[in-house]
Amino acid sequence: MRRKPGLLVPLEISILEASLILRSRGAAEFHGFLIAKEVKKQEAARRLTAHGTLYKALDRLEKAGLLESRWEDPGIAAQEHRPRRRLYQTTTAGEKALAQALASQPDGQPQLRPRRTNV
Amino acid sequence: MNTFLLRFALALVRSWTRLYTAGLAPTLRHARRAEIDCDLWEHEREAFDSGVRTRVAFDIFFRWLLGAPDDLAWRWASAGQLTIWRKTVPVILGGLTICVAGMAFAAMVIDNIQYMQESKHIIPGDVLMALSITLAATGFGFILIGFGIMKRVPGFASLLVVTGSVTVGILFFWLIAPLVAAVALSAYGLYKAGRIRKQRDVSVV
Repeated sequence: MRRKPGLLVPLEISILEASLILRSRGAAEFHGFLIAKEVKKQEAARRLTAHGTLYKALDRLEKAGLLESRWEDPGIAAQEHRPRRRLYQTTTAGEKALAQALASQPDGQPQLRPRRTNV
Repeated sequence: MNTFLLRFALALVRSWTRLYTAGLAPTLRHARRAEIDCDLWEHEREAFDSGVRTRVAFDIFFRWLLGAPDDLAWRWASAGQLTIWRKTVPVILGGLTICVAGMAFAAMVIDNIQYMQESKHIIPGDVLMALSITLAATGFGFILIGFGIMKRVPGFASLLVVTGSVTVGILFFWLIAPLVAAVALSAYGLYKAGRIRKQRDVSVV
């Protein structure tokens, strides 16, 4: 099934929303695993978004200009004895696209809604 | 067992990533592999910090399994300049790998859990036999295809030979000599692939 150009799918909306939540907490940039954890937390999902699905969505968002990415300074990664991270950041276009997507949702609620609650 | 499962899941995702990015443009290939390596490192750290290695192993396994179709779709979309042969073969083999590795993983886990609980294997012998035959056929198939395409795509071919050899080696552990020969040949293929890739990267730059 082909998607309409310019339309955000639910996962992309979740990624952009989670990135803004992280930014409000002081993390302006995020890497794949971090955003997967944040999306899982916000949606109260059982498991993290699949590798292929997540990185394909990040790739799509970046190509659409809604995210931008850079590779972390190798010195920092070496200092912490871990591989380099690819750090993403939501662009102004990304914020606008998210606002539009949320406004066009039937219930029009600009908040992440848990799919499941742990009661 | 916990660490073994975790290592297995990590190796599975790493091998899979190398498989579906094989033959793509160097920048694209290196970026995706590095990103997945980083993601797996975070998983591994979480597993060792929290001590819940089995759960993390399953998380990794399911993230891989559920995302594999998207990986293949991404490869298809990214491999615009590749020939149909190089676009198609890894995709078909990728599908086969999902089935075989998934079956092997499930069988190992189920059999092991049941063995721990009741000190006996509960999976029927004929099912295990069918699984072994499937795995053996796939292993030998990978080796044969790997040797067949060793000259054309040495990197990918080596990966196939190693995967096939390990599968066959696990099933028929007494076949040490062919296993060592296959691994040696694969090492040569990887070395050759590395040289070809280096030349290609230099020409791209």
